[in-house]
Amino acid sequence: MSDELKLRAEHVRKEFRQGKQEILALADVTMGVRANEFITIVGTTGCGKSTLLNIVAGLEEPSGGLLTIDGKPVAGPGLDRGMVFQTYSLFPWQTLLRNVEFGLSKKGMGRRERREVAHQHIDMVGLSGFEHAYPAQLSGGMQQRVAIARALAYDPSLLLMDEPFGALDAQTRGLMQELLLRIWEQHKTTVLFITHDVDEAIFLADRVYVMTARPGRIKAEISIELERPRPYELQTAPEFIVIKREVMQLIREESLRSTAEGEEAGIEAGSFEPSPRRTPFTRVVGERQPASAWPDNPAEES
Amino acid sequence: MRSWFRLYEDIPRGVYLAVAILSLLLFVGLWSWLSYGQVVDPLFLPTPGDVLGTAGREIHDGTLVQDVGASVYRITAGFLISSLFALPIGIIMGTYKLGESFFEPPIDLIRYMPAVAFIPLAIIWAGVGDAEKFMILFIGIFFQEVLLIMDNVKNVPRQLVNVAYTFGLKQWEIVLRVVLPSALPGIVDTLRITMGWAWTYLVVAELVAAEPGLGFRIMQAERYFDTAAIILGILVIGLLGLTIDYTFKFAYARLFPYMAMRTR
Repeated sequence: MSDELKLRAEHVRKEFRQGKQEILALADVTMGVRANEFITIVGTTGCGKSTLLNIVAGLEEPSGGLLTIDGKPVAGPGLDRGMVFQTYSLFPWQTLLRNVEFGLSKKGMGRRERREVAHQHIDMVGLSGFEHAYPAQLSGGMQQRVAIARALAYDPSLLLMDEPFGALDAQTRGLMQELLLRIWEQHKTTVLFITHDVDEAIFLADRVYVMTARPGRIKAEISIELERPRPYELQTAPEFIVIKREVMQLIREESLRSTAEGEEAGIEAGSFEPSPRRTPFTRVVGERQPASAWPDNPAEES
Repeated sequence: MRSWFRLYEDIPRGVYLAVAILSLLLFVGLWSWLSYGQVVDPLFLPTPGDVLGTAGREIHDGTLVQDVGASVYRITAGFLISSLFALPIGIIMGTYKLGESFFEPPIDLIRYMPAVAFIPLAIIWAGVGDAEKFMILFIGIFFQEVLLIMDNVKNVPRQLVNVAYTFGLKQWEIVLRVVLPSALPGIVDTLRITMGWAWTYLVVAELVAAEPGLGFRIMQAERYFDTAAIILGILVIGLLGLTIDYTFKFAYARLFPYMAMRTR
């Protein structure tokens, strides 16, 4: 990858101490995000994808490896990044308007300008008229729209989203995806989006990173060469299904591996066949020889 | 009608009020039957009329107002002093583990010691004036209050703190702009509960040299077998406590309207 990467992660690893146990959450993550790209990361539950996002946000420190944004190493949170969490991230004691204004306090804006920017972004997510409502009076989807408005209001160059639609019902989620794409196309910001929903990952992304089960690493990278703007019906189109099958297969391998390791599933670890066919846009990390030469993490064990 | 007896089912407001009044009437009725009916010796249980008569007399000669004034002053002062320490210490304990490990052992130790047992010490340390009363009230409530405030602060969702971090706020800014407002409804509830304890410690605090004072008046009345005055004192303390409790509840509803909104 070229050097004009917005975000670059090289051999990022993360260990947790839980009681007396050392848990390896991220083994070795190497990836990059170009400016104005929409990147999604999919992986099974507990694969460390949220940990990765927290590290990028500066909320957690990596145990090893290098992480740079615009070429500069990440040291703690910064105003160049905005974050949207899965749920309940609005301040319940503040009205919607105050919530969106909250992030602007560190931008050195005057009161009037803050208000103006907040109104503008509330309008952008279609919540004009709700400025003086409290979060508890809004539906889950509306709350997440506020969270997006709040994160975008201070104009970060990198928007981090941690399963922002994961707690919403399917219909609302679909609408939110379209809204997000429209905003992204207008704003042309860079997005790093975490999800465990394969449809969502493909529908939104320029590129999808698939993560392995814990300890997390990048398993595959898939370029999504679907035309934009993408209508919602695209999700049932044949070309979409081809990619979906591919990604699902990759994730299924990981689910099987992680449950077999827990010796609960009764499915033997060796009973799956690595995906026989690859779309031309898929690059599986470390895969050069025939698919059977699957690397079995020789270096790390927990 | 039938739905009134269903689990968790709401009832009409009028029914609620009627039942509440009925419950009070039953209480007064039972008391009247026991006293007017001479079921219990009047020396032990005065009639409601006797208590009202005593109230009239004490209002007339000004003792009741004096007593209430002195006791409310002591309780308010004791409560404020206690809260003045409990707030910052509780916040530090709730936000920094180091603070918790430093403050919790002595607090845990002292909070199981009976406040009454400190009276001799308090007299030696602070004399028999109001300072001694404040000290007893402080010992009675501070060590519980500070732990409750620590818990209020600990219950602030970590997610909200993370949001503040992503907006570039410094630690002290997060304490002021996120931790405090988030914990505030819980803290106001803690203050309300603490104020309730303060009333229960009043009699203890006024055991010695507390003229005037409601607790003192009760102790004094015992010497003359004036059960009507004792019951009057107890009732007045109860009513004052209730009034302050409702004031807190009213303030809570006013200050935190969003707490009553149900999350959809």
